[in-house]
Amino acid sequence: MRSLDARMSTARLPALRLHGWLSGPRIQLLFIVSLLPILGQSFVFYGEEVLPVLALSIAISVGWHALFARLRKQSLDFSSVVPAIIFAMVVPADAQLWQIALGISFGSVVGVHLFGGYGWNFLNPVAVALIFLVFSFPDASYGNTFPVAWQWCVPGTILLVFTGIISWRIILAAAGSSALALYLLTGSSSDAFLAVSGFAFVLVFVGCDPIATPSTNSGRWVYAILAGCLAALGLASGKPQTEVFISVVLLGGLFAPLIDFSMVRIQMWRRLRRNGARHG
Amino acid sequence: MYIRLKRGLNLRLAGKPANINIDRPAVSSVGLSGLDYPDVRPDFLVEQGQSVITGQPLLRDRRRPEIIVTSPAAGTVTGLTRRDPSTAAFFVGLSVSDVNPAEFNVPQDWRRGDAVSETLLASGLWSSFLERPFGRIPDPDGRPDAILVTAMPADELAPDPTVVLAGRAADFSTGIEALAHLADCPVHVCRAPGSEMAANSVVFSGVYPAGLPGTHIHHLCPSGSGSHVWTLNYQDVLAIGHLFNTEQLETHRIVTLAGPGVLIPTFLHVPLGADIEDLTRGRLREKYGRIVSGPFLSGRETKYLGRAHLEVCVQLSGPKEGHLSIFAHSNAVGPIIPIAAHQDTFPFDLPVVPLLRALVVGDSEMARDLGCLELIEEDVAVLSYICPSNNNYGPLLRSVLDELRDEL
Repeated sequence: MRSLDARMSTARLPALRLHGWLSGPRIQLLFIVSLLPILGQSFVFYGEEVLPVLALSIAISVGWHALFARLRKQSLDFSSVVPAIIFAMVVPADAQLWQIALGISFGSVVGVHLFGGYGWNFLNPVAVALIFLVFSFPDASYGNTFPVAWQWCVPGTILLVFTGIISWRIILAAAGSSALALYLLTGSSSDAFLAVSGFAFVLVFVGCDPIATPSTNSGRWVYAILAGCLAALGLASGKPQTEVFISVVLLGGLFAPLIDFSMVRIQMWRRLRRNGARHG
Repeated sequence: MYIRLKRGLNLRLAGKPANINIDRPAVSSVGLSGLDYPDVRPDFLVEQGQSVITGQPLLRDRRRPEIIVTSPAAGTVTGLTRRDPSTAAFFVGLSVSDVNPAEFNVPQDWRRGDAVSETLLASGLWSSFLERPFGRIPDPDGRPDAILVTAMPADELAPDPTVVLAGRAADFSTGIEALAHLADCPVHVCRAPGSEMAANSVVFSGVYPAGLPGTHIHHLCPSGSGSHVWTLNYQDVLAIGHLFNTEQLETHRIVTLAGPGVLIPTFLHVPLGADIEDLTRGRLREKYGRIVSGPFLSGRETKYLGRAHLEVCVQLSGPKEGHLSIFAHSNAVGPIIPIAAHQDTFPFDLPVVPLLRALVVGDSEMARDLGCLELIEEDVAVLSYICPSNNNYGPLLRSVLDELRDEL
């Protein structure tokens, strides 16, 4: 196998490098901009309570990133700030600071940096960090976080969808399927709406992470419907919201490569059948 | 037939020609690059300093000697290079003395037998064709399963075919008729909505890359399945029709000089391979940037107009980069972050991100199974443009295609 550089240099066309404005670091910037209204509302509603959690979370996450970037001689970007902010929003309010430090450390090291940094990983670091806390400290009250009302997610969601970063298919299918499943399970439409609106923040900022979701559109539908139904099952059994959502997202992320693989196989099979007669 | 493409990218390019006046700039030199004649290994038929007439054979392919490249103008040979170090392709330069069309003998009964392919080969118009899979000039004795005429602008800056085709219906229909005689296969004319054109045309509507032949093939007759599809653009069809109608070899094309770096975007009537300096002289803004021959996303920076290129895009010089490293674009290649835009800008029913990953690691078998035989470089330009990884997928695809072709 020839190296990437060798293949680039012997190609027929002189490589005209014309790129749009999207790049890994800029995706991170867009995520941060999308999180600004949410940060704003958390300062307004929870004030000083949220500040130490946020500061600690960001400091530790960036610290790990800086250490690994130095070891690997990579440049720093915002990719460690985004999960730190999201983590601070979903962490139990009564968690000790050292627990938070431990959680975000596990999330960034095991969830991202062991794989080579953001983009090379396959699970969302926030989901990894929180599931670590859930298993390590099962007594914490996961219902009691800094809840984010769905309205505050709207501007960020619009920005991320229109810049082509997250898929509206996931949002639509997950919200729709969980609401429908909850309605069928509980028979109450207001309960279903409440649960789904509580889902909004985690769904958009963790459940739509391009890294941890399928990369094919058909896979995205399957992933989202699966996650939505699982979330409805969890909620109907009375588990705390955050715990349910994060477990579902993590499970979905684990299955994403398998879902993608199956969808690609189906697509290849369909192509073969369509072109079948002349296939040679 | 009407095919509406939902996926794509609205490039919102500035600098389209506002009126349809066609300028005829004086062109002092032309250059032919081997990049436009893929797989042709040149045996030169002329010498340095020799004077040539329009339509005179300049070189022939060593492996397929029926394929020749003819001179687009009369003049003197000023440069002959077998392998240009910067492009790894041959180059022929001519200083131009006369650009009038040349007389060319066409058999009277060209509708019978192999006369069409023989005439196209002898006139050099054979190199209008590109064959999928692989995007190469088709074999002289090869026969396609379909021929696609691209009568649609590649992007917003390319000339509107209705302007070019105005008053030339006879040449166009003769050209289509000649193509139909070439092989016993369907000839599809792919056009944009709203343009009047011959029967059996297929309308494609949508944003970029709705105008690229690869997109059309994918929706009409996918070539990944062992079928061979030939493509050519409508101006080459005009040249073919003109040749059979009038026995004149037309070596001019109507191209646009467009983009934000141009003072007054305009149509130009120029010979193939025209020196871009001659086309742009006195027509550019002070702060013009990159000059690209061919479509905005898939053209190339070169001194001479490409064989099939119908537009010259001039950009403005970009802002200085490197002040804020986080905001500036770095050229480093990163991981493929599979964002929603990958699938939503690519009008092929192929698994985009798995395909891109196969291209990056150079897994040619996987890439073939995922459908890369349907594609050539220009089709993946939109993916290089939107992909956050900074990869340039055109050369990576070509490397995989070369590997697959060697296996045949």
